[in-house]
Amino acid sequence: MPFVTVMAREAPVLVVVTWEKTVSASQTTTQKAIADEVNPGQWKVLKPRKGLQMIDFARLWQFRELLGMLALRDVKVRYKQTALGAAWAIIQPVTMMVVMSLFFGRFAKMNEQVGAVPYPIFLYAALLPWTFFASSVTASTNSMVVNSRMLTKIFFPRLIVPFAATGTPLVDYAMAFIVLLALMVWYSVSLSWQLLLLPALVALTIISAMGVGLILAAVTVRFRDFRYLVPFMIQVWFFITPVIYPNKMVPENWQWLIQLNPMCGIIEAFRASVLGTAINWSSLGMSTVVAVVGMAIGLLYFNQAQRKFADVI
Amino acid sequence: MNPVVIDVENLGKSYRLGSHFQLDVTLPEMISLKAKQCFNRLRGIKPEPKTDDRHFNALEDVSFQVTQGEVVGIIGHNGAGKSTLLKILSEITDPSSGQAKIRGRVASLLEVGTGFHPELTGRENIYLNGSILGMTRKEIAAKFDDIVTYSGIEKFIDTPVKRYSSGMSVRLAFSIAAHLEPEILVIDEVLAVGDVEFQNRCLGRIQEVANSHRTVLFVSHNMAAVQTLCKRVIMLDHGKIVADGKPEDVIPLYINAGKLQSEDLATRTDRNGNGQAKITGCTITDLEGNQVQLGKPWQINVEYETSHPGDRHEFDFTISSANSPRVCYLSTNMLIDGPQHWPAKGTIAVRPTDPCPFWPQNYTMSTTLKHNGSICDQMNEAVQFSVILGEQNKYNSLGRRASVMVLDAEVRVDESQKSLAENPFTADTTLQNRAA
Repeated sequence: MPFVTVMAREAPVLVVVTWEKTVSASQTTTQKAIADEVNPGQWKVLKPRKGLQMIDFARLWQFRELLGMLALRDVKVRYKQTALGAAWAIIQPVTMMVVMSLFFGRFAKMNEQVGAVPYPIFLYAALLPWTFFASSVTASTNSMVVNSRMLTKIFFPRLIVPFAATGTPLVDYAMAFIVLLALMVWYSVSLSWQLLLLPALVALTIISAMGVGLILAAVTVRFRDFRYLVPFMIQVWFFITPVIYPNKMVPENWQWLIQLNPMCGIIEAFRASVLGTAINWSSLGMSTVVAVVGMAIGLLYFNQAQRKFADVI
Repeated sequence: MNPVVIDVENLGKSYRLGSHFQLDVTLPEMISLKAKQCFNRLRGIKPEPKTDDRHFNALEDVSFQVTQGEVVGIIGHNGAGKSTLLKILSEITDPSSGQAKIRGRVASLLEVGTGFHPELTGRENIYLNGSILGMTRKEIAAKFDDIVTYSGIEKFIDTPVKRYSSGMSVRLAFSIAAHLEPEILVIDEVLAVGDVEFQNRCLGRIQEVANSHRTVLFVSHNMAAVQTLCKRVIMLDHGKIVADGKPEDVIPLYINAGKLQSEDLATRTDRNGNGQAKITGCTITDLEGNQVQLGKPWQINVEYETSHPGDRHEFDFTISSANSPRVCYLSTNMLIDGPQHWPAKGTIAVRPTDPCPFWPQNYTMSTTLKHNGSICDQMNEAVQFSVILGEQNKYNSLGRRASVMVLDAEVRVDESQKSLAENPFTADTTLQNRAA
């Protein structure tokens, strides 16, 4: 019986090939083995991985259902044994909106800065994507530590975990969106074609959140400090993002800096889509570039760091 | 000859210890350390050379091959590297050196019920756990009824798992794992949880897997299970393979290694008491000094030292198994009456009059040495020992109808219908059945 050795770990492209063959071969082997015929498929080689690792997309695809299962688990568990249940997903952002409209809008006279738009809807249209972003970052940061038992006891592509953590924020986001629609009716904001952009903006928010979330998830495995640092970081981030104030309040020569924050362009675009005002395409484009680059860095870093997860967590 | 399906060559795994990359440093510590290193380098002080004591080798130069259909037991004392080996083979962690080659779909069961969520129902957990273990939703759906039936918790399938007894959730978890259809099954000490019935079910399932021409790697401390299941046993010690062969050859080595380990009792630090007397060694063996066998005479030898020579002391011990915290308790106080003269250094030999009644599995013994009513030395799990099925004797017919203890009794069978009170046992009507 000749052995076919594939150096899978050193040539990452081959991992893909090897795995697929192993899987398809394995199904036939089980049946053949029972028939006492022996054809054990190809070798999978486990050896120290050095250098830059490629992301094993074939494996991710194989475990794709796990993404949904983990997200579903978190969603199901989230409001278990609460009296109000999923209503919390609405209560929280609405309360925030009311309090902030009062304090920032009325007392801090922010409503004079936003022109003809009613401040509550101006605020809520930004609060919504912001909350989604903030809770996605927090959830994915903590996801590795929360699931640490799984990481040390079973193999599956680790990348799935932080991505699955965005499931619950996404559901909350959808719930809170209903309130936005109600607000639009209340303030008689007419629907514009730009609302069609929202799914793309949601995707872009996930991409931005994952860029940060993946890196934070990976470092939290070693340094739990980040579990405490992240809420604080998010708070600061909130104020440098145009949520409670319009972007135009930021001085012209600081604009380039503020545009580096991917949430800046996304929130502006989200607000413009809801209110039917003109979208700042250059700002959105900048955000997209930053978000995509961030996500790529996050993916690579996480993929690189994951080799040690089970040992350090 | 079956083909090789697992080929491990010079496999090694080391963990970094020490100040360079401590695993438990906080961020400021790490930053200050790095800063200090930079500063030292600027001043021309060379960084401390990385020496070997900064590394802990969990596995070292391990090589072996497993052919298809083999059931291999992996044994060794705690810290021998068994779990590390399984973690590498199931891709949870990378080796540091060498390589392992595997062909076929691997399912690893390092823990029963990984990823179970207490708030979810049994049904939801089957899907969740199944997909964590690598099954597709379709596969799970197809096997769902079997899994539920096998676990025997049909009635509670829509109840949250947090309401289950621990036995129920373990049964459900095992049932899911049992329905994976891998070509190579890698199992860590899963038998340690659950009751005897569950353990037997596990063993039965592993046997089934083995019979269907699939490969099993099986880590256990339960020598009786290893003995029944495996045709080959690999023993690890301090990360190296020390023996690889037939169970009857390798298992005694493990037991002897255990004896050596118990001699460390003198230096053990996790002990309670005032220290005026101390247990320095303890062995549990049959009369020839070999491993305890079910139904054979056995003895406990304890070495001690005391600072009250000549006085009466009290030694007592409790034997426990994984399922029962107190299988047996004995104290010299109840066994010997009257004044006692205990030398400053000596041996206590306890020889139970009944042959060893313990069902083959692992036991631990906790010891206490008292003087004048106050505890001088107390150790939990001072000694580990396992009982095996030995030479053929009447207890061997027990098979898997195991309890913790096997009672011996006098039994009489005759034609009379009289009750015991009317017709008591006499010497000539009794079946003298005691084991030699």
